[in-house]
Amino acid sequence: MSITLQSVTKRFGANVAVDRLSLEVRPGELFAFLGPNGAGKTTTIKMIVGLLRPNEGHISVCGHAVSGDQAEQGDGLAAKSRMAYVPDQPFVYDKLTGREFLQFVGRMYRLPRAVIEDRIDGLTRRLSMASLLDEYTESYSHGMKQRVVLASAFLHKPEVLVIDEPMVGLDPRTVRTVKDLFIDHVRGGGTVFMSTHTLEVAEAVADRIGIIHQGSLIAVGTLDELRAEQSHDTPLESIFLELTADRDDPQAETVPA
Amino acid sequence: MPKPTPDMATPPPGLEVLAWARCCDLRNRTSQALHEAPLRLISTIVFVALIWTCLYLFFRTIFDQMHSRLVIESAVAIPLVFHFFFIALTVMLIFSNAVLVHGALFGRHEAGYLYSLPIAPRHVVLMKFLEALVFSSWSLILLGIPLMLALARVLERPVPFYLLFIGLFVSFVPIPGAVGLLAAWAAGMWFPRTARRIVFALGCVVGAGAFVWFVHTWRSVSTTSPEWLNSFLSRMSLVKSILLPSTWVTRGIDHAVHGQMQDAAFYLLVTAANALFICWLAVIIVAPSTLKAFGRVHSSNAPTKSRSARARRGGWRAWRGPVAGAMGRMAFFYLPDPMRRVVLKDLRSFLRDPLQWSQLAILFGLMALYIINVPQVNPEFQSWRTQRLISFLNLSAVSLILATFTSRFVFPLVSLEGQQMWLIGLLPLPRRRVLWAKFAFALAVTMGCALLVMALAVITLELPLPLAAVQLAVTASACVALCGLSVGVGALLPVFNQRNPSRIASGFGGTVNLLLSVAYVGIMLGAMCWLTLFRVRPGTGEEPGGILGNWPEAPDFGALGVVAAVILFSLSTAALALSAGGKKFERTEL
Repeated sequence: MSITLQSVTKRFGANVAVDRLSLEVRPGELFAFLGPNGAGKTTTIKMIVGLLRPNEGHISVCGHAVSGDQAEQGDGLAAKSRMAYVPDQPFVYDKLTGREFLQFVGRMYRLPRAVIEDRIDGLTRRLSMASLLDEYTESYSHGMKQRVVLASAFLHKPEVLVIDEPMVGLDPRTVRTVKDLFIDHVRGGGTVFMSTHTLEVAEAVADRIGIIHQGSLIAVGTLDELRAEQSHDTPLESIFLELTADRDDPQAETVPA
Repeated sequence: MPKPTPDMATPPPGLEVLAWARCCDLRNRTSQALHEAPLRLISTIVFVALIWTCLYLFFRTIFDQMHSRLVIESAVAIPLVFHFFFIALTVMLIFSNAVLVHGALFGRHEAGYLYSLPIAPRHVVLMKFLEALVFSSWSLILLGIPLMLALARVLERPVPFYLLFIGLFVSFVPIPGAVGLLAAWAAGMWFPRTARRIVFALGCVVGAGAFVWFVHTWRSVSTTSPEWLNSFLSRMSLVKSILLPSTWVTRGIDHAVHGQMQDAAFYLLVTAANALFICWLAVIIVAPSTLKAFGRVHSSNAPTKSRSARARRGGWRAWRGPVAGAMGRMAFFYLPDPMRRVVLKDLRSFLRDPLQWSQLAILFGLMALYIINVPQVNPEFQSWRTQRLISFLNLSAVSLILATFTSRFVFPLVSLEGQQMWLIGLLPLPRRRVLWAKFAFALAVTMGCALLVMALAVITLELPLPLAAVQLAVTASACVALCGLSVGVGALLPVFNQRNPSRIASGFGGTVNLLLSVAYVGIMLGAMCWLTLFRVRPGTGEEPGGILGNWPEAPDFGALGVVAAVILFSLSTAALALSAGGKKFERTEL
């Protein structure tokens, strides 16, 4: 398995952000992780990449533990070298150019210099950002920063790509390019674990979809399986709204199918 | 899927790549400064050189005085000066490193990104530690070099003295830095939610404790005895303990000053060996659990059920908002409604940020503690000369505190609005009024604190009415000038792309504002020094307290003129800065 979560729980004080979450994502699979705001998506992602530690349960990426004692003994670094993470708020060093930032990331993954330059060339052409690559990143728009960060994620050809809200701030052409990059990545045997609010993207590219609500995984499967569970042929939006309807909110009951 | 390219047998990269990125960053910043704002770079260098020269002249005057007038005592007193200097430096470096390292290791963006890369955490810790050391000590190097040059010049020391001094300084700085690193890590591990409050509470305790100990020691020595200096110094033996790094550095400098290079080199090696050991120890303690601490810090930022439950139950949290709002509306009744709302918003932010009000409380609290203790420390406080001297020193201290506070907290106010300009810019309120609202808020906070402390001093020192009135009037005018300067320069040289107030304050605009504030304080204090300490006409009956002559029967119009000029200068400074800032702010495009 590329990503394995076994009965993972994360608490913030008395608040349970993720509750006994178990999930497996296979190689060659694009998994879309959906949920309302505050459902526990980003917390789950941060646990997968090792930034937060679960209070209970176990997480591994490509067979390497990212939580617990094993992670501290070197398994965590082995897992990180096989994956890439794009956070919801992309980070780049303001006073580096886009090219320098990509070189920095490439060197972090110990890629030879020639390989770094070759891949930077290919990725920047594909993401249409070659013209701005030698400008300081402080002058980039949000979308441009997102493109640089996405390029940095693909630079070392990771086995697992973990992405939080990848399409925010991107223009339609780049959205299409990014979707194609994801599809190429999973066709090559890689894994994409993507959290998103853009249901159309999930509907278009995801092999399987997981829906988290109030910290619990309430549905998981292919789009057809989710439709079958709801017993009618509806778009993903309706399934999502129905599953995540807040029972305390009277308006939620009136969500159209 | 092809296997990853990296060769797992070789050790993971980290430090050299992080250092490479930092060097690129530095090179790009320098090149950008040279190409885009050469004037700004030149003026910064000129200002730094000016400060540096002033410091050199200041230290040289002190050492010259000590060397020529107190030949015997200087041999004892100069090491004591260094003991105190390095102890003060130790405390400052511990706190500044703790704050810097905490932000660098547990910040959301860069730290979060670096921890997601395959880098050993010890490399991140080491890099961030080194960065914090450089950031926290560059200003001390600025202070240390003129100190060293002044001392060497007065004592006519050879070249090796300079090398030893630099070596001792560079070896010393990592010791408090490593303690700061451990403190930041401990705060992240065990006090993730209250780290800031803990640091400032500790700062208060350390500052107040040091002050009480010093006052107690001073009071226990009879200043009327000819042996008072030796007696006082012997009671200061605690600061000269051989276990303190400040003692090693001081002894090293002392031996170097006396030409005993072998002994000086010994203390250099002792300091360097201990620095290396404590840095190694700190990094190997902190590195294995950095990620755990990072997780705890970020877990603690999420709202908890217990916190929301407390809010639901009511208590202080439930009613403090309406009470503060009502008090604020009363305090700013003279402002039009939209401006008052901006002021109240700033007031709420100020009261909810312990970093701001606690610094003001610490500085003015220590000042109040000193004022209350003045009559005990100096029994002759009622003599008119002492009264004038102490009241002038009080005014100096309050003005410098105000200059520091306004530069650190008032200057960034306009820049911080840059993030909310989509809201502020569209309000049915001229932008210039937003600036006036900031000024009104800053003035209310600073004047409230400063006048309270000065009133306490007036009562404690039993100052005569004319002197008391002059003190309070000049303090109030200093508040107007310094707040006006900070708001005005804040609008003239804003930093809209930065959210961190300390970074805004430490940038170019902040430095210019600080220098202008210090220049204003220097001019104002120069005039007040002349009026309070030097303009005394014996036999005219003005000595006991008649700073304004024989008030009100035969007022000294010359003295009144000086006071009026100081107040006018203060008001003009504020008006000029606010006017220039207002014009720029109206035209600013965001």
